[in-house]
Amino acid sequence: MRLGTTASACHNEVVTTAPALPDVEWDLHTQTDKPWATTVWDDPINLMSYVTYVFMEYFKYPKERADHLMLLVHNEGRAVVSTGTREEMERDVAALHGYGLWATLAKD
Amino acid sequence: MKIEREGPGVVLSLEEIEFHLLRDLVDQLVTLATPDVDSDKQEDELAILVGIDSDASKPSDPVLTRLYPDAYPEDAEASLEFRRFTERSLRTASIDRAARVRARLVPQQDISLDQEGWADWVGLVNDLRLALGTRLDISESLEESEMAEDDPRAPLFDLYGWLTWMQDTLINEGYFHED
Repeated sequence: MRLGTTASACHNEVVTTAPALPDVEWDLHTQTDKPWATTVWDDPINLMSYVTYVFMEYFKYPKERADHLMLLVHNEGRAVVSTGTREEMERDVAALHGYGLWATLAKD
Repeated sequence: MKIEREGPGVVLSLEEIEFHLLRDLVDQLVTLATPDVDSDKQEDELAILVGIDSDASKPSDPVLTRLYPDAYPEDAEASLEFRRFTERSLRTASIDRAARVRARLVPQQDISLDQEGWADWVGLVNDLRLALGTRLDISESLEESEMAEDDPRAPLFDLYGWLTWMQDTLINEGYFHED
């Protein structure tokens, strides 16, 4: 929907009915708040202690959360470590690559 | 080699042979991370300065694709675009870090590391482990099993184990210690 079009069409008349809403399910949290996610993948080289250190140092996560995420990566093969806008996730992925972690981003 | 906690940092004591080995590894890493320069290519100096590489392509060396992986697993085009804006900066950061560590490498002297110096060492050793581990095709099973003595990879595998010990000790002494 383009706001400009609606505004000019309504300019000279009294609006009594709301414009029709698109027929979609709304979920503000998942669809507009945090649409992208950064995933860290398991690899056989990075040490468990190192991965925990990176999560604490870069994301400022407390030790318990960092350990939990590290174990998810280790046991499940991957873990979502942050969510946000595409730009924010690109920043996280670039930083994690700087730490040598195997990180990717995708639409959540 | 000895690594001991001292105040907020750590102190490293290296044997002569370890000093030479480490300096050689650092130099090899710098060579590896340095981008290929095409002398015929006219590059935008401002772009280089801010870390953009308009001609970036996915490296063919598996060590380099491990150090600088694709950011979008199912989108080669977006990955390449991401690479244009990040890979050169990552390489430069890695090279600069290696240079800072190398400058502190003095034979027959203990190396005292504050927190910044410590982070440089941890990052450098991680780069070395990723490079060596990828060359050795390290997998979970290989790491746990003993390699045969006559395996041609055995000396490199020992070197990898030495770096692993160094990394784990640096992190435990310099980061996870109880105050």
